[in-house]
Amino acid sequence: MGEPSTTGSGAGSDLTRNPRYISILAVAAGLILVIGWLLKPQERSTDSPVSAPSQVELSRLPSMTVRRDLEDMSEFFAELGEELSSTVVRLGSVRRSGVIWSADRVVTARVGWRFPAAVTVGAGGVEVGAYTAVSGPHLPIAALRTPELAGDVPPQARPLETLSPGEWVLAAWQGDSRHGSAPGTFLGVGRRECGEYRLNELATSVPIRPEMLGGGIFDLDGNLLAVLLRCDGEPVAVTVEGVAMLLERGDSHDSRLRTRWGLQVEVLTSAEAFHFGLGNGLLVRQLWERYPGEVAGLRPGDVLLALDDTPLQDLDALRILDADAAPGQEAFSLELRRGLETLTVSLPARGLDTRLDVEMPDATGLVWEEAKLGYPVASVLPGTRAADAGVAPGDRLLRVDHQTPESLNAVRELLSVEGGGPAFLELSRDGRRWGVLLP
Amino acid sequence: MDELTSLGLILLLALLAGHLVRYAHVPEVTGYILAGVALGPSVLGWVSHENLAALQVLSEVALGLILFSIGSVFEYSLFRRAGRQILYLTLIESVLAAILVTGGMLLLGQPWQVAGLLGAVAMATAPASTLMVIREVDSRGPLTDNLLGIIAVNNLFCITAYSLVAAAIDLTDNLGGAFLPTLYRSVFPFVWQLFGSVALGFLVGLMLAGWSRQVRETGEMLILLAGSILLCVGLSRLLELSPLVASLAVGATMVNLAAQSRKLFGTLAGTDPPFYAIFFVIAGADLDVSLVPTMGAAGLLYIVARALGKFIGARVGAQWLRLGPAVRRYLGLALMAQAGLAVGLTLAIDDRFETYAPQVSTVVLAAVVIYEMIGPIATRFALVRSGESAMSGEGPRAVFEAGARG
Repeated sequence: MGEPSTTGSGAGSDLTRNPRYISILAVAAGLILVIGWLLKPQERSTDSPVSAPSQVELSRLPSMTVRRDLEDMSEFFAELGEELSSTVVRLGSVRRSGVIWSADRVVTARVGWRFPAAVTVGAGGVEVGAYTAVSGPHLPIAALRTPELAGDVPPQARPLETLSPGEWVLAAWQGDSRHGSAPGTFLGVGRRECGEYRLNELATSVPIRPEMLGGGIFDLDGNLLAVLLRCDGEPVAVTVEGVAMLLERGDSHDSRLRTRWGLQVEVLTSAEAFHFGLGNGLLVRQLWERYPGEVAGLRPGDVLLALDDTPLQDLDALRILDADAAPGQEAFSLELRRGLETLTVSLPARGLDTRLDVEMPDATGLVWEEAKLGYPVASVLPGTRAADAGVAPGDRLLRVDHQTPESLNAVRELLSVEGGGPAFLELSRDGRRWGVLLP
Repeated sequence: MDELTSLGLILLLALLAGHLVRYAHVPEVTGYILAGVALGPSVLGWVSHENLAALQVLSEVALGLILFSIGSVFEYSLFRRAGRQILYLTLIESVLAAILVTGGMLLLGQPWQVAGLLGAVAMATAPASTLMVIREVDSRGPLTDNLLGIIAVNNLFCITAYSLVAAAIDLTDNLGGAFLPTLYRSVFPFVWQLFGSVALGFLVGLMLAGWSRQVRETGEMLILLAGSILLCVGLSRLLELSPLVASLAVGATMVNLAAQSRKLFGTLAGTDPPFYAIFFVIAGADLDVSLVPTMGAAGLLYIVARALGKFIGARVGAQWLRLGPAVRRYLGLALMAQAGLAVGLTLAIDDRFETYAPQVSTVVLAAVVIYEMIGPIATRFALVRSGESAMSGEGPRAVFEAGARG
């Protein structure tokens, strides 16, 4: 048996032969231990003895190499985030990020009641001015036209079909003082309601926070996959296709009416024309509170007949409202029918009254909120006329056929008087007012 | 899976693996290690890290017993005769391995701190698997004697080299601080772990030697031994000493002080196989084979440079000392195995030098996987081909025994 050899002549010298010698050695060994322990430096606990490791220590070993890989990954993401800082800009005046969409266009999330007409864009340490080209209370997005941003190249967009679940993505945005980024993985694409639109949402494992709005989600090559917008109060990553669709809609005449005047107008349907007893005209379908249309006194259900004495046959006739009025013109004159009355309303010719955006404190220092008007709808039975007309719980009923009920009983009375016949309801919700014809 | 089931699986599969590998002329140790790799978290996962942690005590006992056995080479008269030769051989092969690894790493562009640490780690040779192969092939002769001496001393050299490199790193990284306190803090651990461990081992060995005179039964002997080794390892950890050096010192003390040392070592050889099987299977289970592809050029260089350093260093040293042909040709091959101490050093580096730990750990942990596989095979090959093994068809021992049979 290959044992360690013990064939030397002194093998196993008996203890009893040299007890004194052994005792001296034992005392010396004890002294070494005691003195060494006392002299041991106290502060560093990292001088672990070199020995065969315990199992607990050995179980740490895999994590050491994994840690290095994770550190390398973090470094990679940080570098990619830095590179993307030329694609994601800071909109100082609205304190939000924006993504460079094209050589002269920046897109961002529209948050708040109204988006300013002019914004500063910070890119590459330089601030340039930009004006709002697309924005409206119906849109979750705003687009700005800027002079060409020197050195900033718009990102390539990547078709989502080429993305595989589990692939790494990076969210990038511009914070107040520095660039931010957060890695995650691609999970899939879903459909999502966003106001009156249905958009494709890019689902990822990145937790989207409000300060990231206006930023973008990119792949590891820096291709743009989605822009972070707010839909119905929640941050959402809207795909590039969805953003393109919103920008196209936002560039329309209808969208410009909504953006500038807070006004959506439609041609009367045949049922509505019969109900209102009018052959033609343009129906005010929606209004947004504190926009010029509502402030001027328009209401849902008003039928616009003429603008500056020009009869209104179709929506194109309102194109004059897209642009500023002629020099010297203070207001546009709108003739309309409200119920049996014919009224004239004056729309201010230039700009939006931004004073409407800011609630000023009064002398006591109190800032007030407007009392909510109307009667809230608690529930809507499915299959009823109200459900078919699109009334939903939470909507507030303001008027029925231009009449303001003074009590809930009056509401019931009005609606029962209308009986089986149609009634035009004016409803409001979250600052938006609209009218529906109850069939 | 609970720990008892894991333990049962470990023992049975180790036995099976040990039998199977014999057909391939591969050491049983390799079979145990392969069984461990198969059972462990990186392959089948039948034995988890939690199971392994729970079986730690048995692993500690096994390693302590192995080192205790090796410590017997420090028997005074034997060491007086062959000690200088063993010291020179160890110095040459260790230092050449360290120089080749350090130089290679510097050429690869690694910082000198990483190169120095890897060079120090490269000096270590696994005592456990080497001793097990020696037992398995039942080898005796000058190659075996030198090999046993080297694996006993080699790890002391390795710890010394590591301590010196660590001290140099501390001193250069703390240039702004006071020199003497930094030097004291850097050098003290080495001094404490060396001398303190020897002192502790001596005291425990003294107790063991004295008590063993009263013990007659084999079973009682084993209890005494296991208890003493566990006490030694436990106290080492408590006092922040080196259990490896302390266990060696216990064996060295025993062999020099106890008249019954031969009987004790003989008893140990007959009853400790289950502990060793457990130890090597656990060691195999802890190997992460997925690290091998990640080792890169540095890992490859480490493996090649260390192997060359050991082989050439042992050959040059044996030539210079005018040792026999068996030692000259085969000693280097027999020193290939590397495991526990290298891993222990890596953990110590992770605690002490976080900056350099990732580079060191990637290389060493991957290299240990390779060396644990090929090391015992190389040792077996060397011992069998040298003719010192009972399994050698020819060679001095076989010729002697044939002559003795007439």
